[in-house]
Amino acid sequence: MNPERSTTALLFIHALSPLHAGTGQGIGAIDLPIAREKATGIPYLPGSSLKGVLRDRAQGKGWDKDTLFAVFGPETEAASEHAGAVQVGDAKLLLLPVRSLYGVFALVTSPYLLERFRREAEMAGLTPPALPAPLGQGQALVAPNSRLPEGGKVYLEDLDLEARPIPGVGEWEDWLTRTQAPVAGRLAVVHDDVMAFLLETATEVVARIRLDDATKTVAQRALWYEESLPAESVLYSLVRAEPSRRKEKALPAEAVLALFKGLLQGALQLGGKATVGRGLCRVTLGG
Amino acid sequence: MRTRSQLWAQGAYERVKEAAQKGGTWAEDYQTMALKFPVLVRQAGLAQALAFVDSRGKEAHKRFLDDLAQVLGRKGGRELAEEALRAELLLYLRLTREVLQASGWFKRFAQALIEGAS
Repeated sequence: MNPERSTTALLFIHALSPLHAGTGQGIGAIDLPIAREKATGIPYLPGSSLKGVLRDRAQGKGWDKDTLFAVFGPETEAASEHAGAVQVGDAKLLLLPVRSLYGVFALVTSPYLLERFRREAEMAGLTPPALPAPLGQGQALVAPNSRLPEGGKVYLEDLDLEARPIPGVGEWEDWLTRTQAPVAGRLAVVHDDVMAFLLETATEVVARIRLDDATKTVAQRALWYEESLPAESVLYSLVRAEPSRRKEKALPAEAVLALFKGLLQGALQLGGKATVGRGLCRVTLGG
Repeated sequence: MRTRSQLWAQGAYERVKEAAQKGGTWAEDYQTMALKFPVLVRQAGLAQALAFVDSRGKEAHKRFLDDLAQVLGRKGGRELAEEALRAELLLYLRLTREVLQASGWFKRFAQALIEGAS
């Protein structure tokens, strides 16, 4: 397939409730941890999760069989016939909400997270602001009118960081309003090492139990700990559309992408534990 | 050469096995703390979690803390708790990570070796 005929878009995923993109089972401190990239430890939502939910929605909307198979690919039994025309990348974390003494919570990111976001946003033809200046481990970059600092400090969880107001962070806040997340006055850029720590320790961990039906007390060995990305997390995913490969249904890449975009209206449920309210997300198009 | 995980796993295994041999409510108390400690660190922060366990009256809880600290090369739980209080940011982050990983092993072995309610 000629790559010049493909078209690319960037999706923002804003978690409205805790998002549990699980791995099945964990052997560490948490019984049901979330999926993380192997090398970086950064949480992500697999592209297949997003694609599956949208395919299901397309079916629910009554797409005809040929359009559905052209865009998302045929059923598993016929998978060898042709590939789907849309490619949904893994959703990567951009902003992590972290409890803050002032402003209730901060949306925290780091130079590395911004750098790789910028890389992918540019592939979708977007031009995010320049990367902010390097910073020290004990510092947090904030916008000049940020609501986070008090007395020159930003208090995230139990980390006290020196606040450094710079206009560049304000530019990012303005640019990121398109995600529809409450980013104004809340963006904090921390050192990559501090970010790695927050990614490990500032995710949401809740205890879940199963009750014994007769006694209404916790059943034997029925206590487990579940991890999620907190509500207000923001992730992004690169989506690429190619012309349809299905001979019954010819569609140029632009039409494939337009069909795909039509599925994004309204809240989506992504990841696991849906019946206990996890994974309600708002998806917006970054361009 | 052996990996960090191996060393911590071995240390945790030996200590949990010893605790299991004591049996009774003592071993159950030990197991309860081993199961909930990693999540305590995640939810409350390292310094708070260490101080919390140190302040609990039960002997088995303190023994768990001492065991954990020794696997991480400290003399005892009190020393680890004091180190957490004094540590500068980066050292604190590293200490948290090490405590989480080592206590994960305690949790696993406590589930496997101690028979209890949880």
